Amino acid sequence: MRQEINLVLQKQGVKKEIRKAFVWSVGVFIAVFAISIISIIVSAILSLQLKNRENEINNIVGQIRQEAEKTNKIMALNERLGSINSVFTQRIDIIDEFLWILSQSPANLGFRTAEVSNESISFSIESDDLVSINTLLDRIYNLEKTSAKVKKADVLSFSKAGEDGNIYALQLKFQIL
Amino acid sequence: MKDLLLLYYQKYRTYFVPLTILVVTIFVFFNIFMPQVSSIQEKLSQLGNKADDIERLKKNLNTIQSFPTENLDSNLSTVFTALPSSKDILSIYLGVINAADKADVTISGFSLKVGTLYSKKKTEVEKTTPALSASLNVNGGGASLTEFGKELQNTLPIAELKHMTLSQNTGTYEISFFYKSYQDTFNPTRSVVEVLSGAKLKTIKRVQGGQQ
Repeated sequence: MRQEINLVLQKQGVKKEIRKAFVWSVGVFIAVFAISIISIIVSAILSLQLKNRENEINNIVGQIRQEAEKTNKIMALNERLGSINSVFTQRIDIIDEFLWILSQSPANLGFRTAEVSNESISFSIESDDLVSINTLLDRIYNLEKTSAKVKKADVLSFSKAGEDGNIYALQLKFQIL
Repeated sequence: MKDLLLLYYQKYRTYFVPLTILVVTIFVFFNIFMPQVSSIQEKLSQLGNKADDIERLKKNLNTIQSFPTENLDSNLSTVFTALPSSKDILSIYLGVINAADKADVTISGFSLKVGTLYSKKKTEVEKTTPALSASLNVNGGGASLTEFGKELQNTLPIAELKHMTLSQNTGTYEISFFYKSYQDTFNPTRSVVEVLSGAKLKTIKRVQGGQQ
């Protein structure tokens, strides 16, 4: 009798276990099926949105193409101005450098010859005013020490010139940065 | 062997249905759900890109439509005079004559190196922008010669004075006149149409000053 009861109980336990496995498997299947359906719906909605956005893009591109001539002009204007700006910022204005060096000399001293490049500026002066020449030399000496523009300043020669020997000639060379 | 299989079947046949459901579930998961997930990710990324495209395109359209048209053609002509798209010998010559007039000097010699020559000493600008080299001999007073050098830098096409030798009444100048080829590369979906910045408007005014 006890054995029979045990067998029945064992059978009931197994049935319960099978039912549990069935319920679990169906539950998991329904869950996976449901999220699969949801993902398909989401994907379809996204496809629709993509299509809408593509249509919107085509619409705007169409409007831009209608203004093609104006667009090309604006693009060309921007490109040229960019290039011109880059030339303006990169090029060296040697005239400004030259005029700045000249501005250091006393007003009564004008240059006789000058050679200007983007690396150096040399010029010569002839004058009978020894005081002014001396002032210029003093200023050049200070320039070399204090100016960030001047890398090196050299007095190439200083001589007496002219028939009566009262004219002084000075040759200067500046290496500029 | 057959009996053994039969015995196993008898023992586990009740598990057959849940097991089949599990297999179908795994199939659905890997063949339907997973591909959809990766497709959704891809579409989301595409949507993001398209949103960026739309934003850029709307900006471009807005810039194009609001761009003032009254001076567009004249400005375009000015900038192409300032920086021609090819070796424009005539406009260089006219620029030199114009500068000479302004500085009150006379041109006694003018030569242009039209071909591309190898040059060791390229200035910073010449490394990025091609240029035509010109040599000029000029007669005039001392101040006029300096003034002429300044006018050359302000004239159009834009130029860079590289070397200048001055004596009492004559001057020689080596100058580079810039040009740059232009190709229309506008692509509605990729290019960005810019409004003219303050710096660019200033540049227009500056080159217009050189044109006068």
